[in-house]
Amino acid sequence: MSTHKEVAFASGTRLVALNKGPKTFPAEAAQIKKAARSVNNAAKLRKSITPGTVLILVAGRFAGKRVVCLSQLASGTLLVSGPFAINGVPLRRVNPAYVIATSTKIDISGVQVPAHINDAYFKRAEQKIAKRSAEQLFDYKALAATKPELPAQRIEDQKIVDQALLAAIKKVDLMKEYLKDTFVLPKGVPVHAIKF
Amino acid sequence: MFTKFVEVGRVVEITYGPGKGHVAPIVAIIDQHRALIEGPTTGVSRREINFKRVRLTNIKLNIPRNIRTAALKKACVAQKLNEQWEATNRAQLLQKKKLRRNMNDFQRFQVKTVKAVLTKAAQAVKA
Repeated sequence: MSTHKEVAFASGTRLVALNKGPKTFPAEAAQIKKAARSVNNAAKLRKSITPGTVLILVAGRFAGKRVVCLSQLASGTLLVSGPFAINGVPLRRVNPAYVIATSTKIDISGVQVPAHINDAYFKRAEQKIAKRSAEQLFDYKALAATKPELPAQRIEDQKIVDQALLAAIKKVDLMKEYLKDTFVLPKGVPVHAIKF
Repeated sequence: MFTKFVEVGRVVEITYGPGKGHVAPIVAIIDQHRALIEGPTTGVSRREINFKRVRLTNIKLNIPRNIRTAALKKACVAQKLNEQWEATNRAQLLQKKKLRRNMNDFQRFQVKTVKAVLTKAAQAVKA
């Protein structure tokens, strides 16, 4: 694309700019936003958390549950499993800030997490909510029916991971019972003094 | 009747401060508040200590007043201070407490479970 065009005048032709620019200039120089130089990388994982570490969840609907860490995903969150068969915690992402790492580790070298399990895997499909009339608002049965079903893939993956994980857990005495048990703060003991 | 006295050779357990849990014999009595103690075999360097910070044990070593470190070490070994202390209920209790304190979460769970099983079994025997 050319930036100029030739325009004929009485005394010949000359080049005229196509973009003549603004007619007025701002009185004050506009602030130019600096391009961000740093990128928000995934948080570095603390040393106490490795694949196979038993974690205690401290927040959310599964608070107090003991779960097994499987890996860290690209976003920095941890991929954990209860396993679901033992304590009802499914394959799930958790923020490492909301877990207590215990010193107990399970050898999960035999557990193969399906490669397609990544951050996008856990993203929920956007749900369109149709407008409801006043009567429909209180129709709980109909409301429950609109709840999206869990994809069959998730259930299948859970089974695959659980099977291998359970085999690893079985090798350690009382480990199954340990994962089934929930953590509660002991009375009269300061948290910072507790060894995990 | 009293059987434990503050005297030279009396082994005391430190109950306060960084040396807590260690034992050492009294080497000399400074005044009514303080004593000089030293435990070359128990990790207590020669120091004075207030009587409020010690408790007397049943153990008493036969040593002279103001005994020096080298001779005291020999006496402690010869009179089996460490073995005598470790055999006491008090030392075993402290050891148990230390073990409990250093347990991790899984070990605490194991103890809890085993204890519950034992209690249940004991109740079954009683009934």
